[in-house]
Amino acid sequence: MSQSSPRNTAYVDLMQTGDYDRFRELLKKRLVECGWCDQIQVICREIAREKGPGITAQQLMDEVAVKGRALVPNSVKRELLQKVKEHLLKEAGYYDNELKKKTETAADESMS
Amino acid sequence: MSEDCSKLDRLKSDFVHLFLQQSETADNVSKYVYDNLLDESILECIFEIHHNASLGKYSPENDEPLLTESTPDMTVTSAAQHLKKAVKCVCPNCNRGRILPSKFAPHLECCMGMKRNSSRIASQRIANTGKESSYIETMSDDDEDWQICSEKQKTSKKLDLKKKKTKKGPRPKASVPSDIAPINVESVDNLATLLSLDSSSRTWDTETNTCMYLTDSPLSRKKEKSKSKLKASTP
Repeated sequence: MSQSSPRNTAYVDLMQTGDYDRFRELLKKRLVECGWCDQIQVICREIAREKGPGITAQQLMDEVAVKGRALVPNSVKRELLQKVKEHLLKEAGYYDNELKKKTETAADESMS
Repeated sequence: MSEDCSKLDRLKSDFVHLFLQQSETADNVSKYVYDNLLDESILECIFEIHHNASLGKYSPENDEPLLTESTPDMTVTSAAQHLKKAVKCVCPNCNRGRILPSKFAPHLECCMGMKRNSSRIASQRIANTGKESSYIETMSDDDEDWQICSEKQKTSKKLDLKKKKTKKGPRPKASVPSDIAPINVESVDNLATLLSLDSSSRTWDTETNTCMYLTDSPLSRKKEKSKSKLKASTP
């Protein structure tokens, strides 16, 4: 994925407005509430005990990332996805009919 | 150049807006954002654990079982007892071990001499009371003005007492027994003489309900005097 892809620009926009941090705090709160953080810490501790003090963060990440993704409750995942999508669509003017028309006309002009 | 840049930015934003207006692409972007967020939160946990692991907290020698990882046969109460037994303090001043944490602070206060030493002063005072015979003597050495004042107070108190006594004096209740008492004592002393007297010489006074002696003895005279006094005081 190139740097100037629309996905990346949307992502950078989110970062610049500070909404990204808000979403991160929300996710962290939800994960602590449902006990996901404790589960991950227990798993990490077990792995660290097995491998000793010479373990690197990358090794831990490789082992834990898959389990961590699977352990996230569906409700939390759905909530976050819904909120981020809604926010993006709102920012893009998906719910604003006038702005939608304007952009459509502008696109038509540029195409012609 | 600035115009071109602004145009390019506008085009870019328009393109992004168009791109995001399709809900599928919005889904994709939100998934991407969510993945990044999740990765970050996983990394947070991992960094914390990795930091502890690199410090050697999870090495098999230094394996401290946490309450969450305690063995299933170890109950909460037994764990609490274990903790209770383990905690004991050692005084750094007098090297006295086995002090309970709750008693440690007062002990250290006494041990370092920071405590209010009123009890010691009191004990010294008790010891010195034998040598210094009276409290007034020590006080008289200190202050003359105070002494004068105290003397004035004492004299005034004495005067008050005298006044009270004089006021109390003329009361009938107090006077009557004092006057009668010696006569009664004499009468008791001279009981034999009274008994030896003839019954004819006695008469019963109905007014005062007392015996009257017709004989002209000194005792009867005294009684008459007392009666007259009583009559004078009673109205």
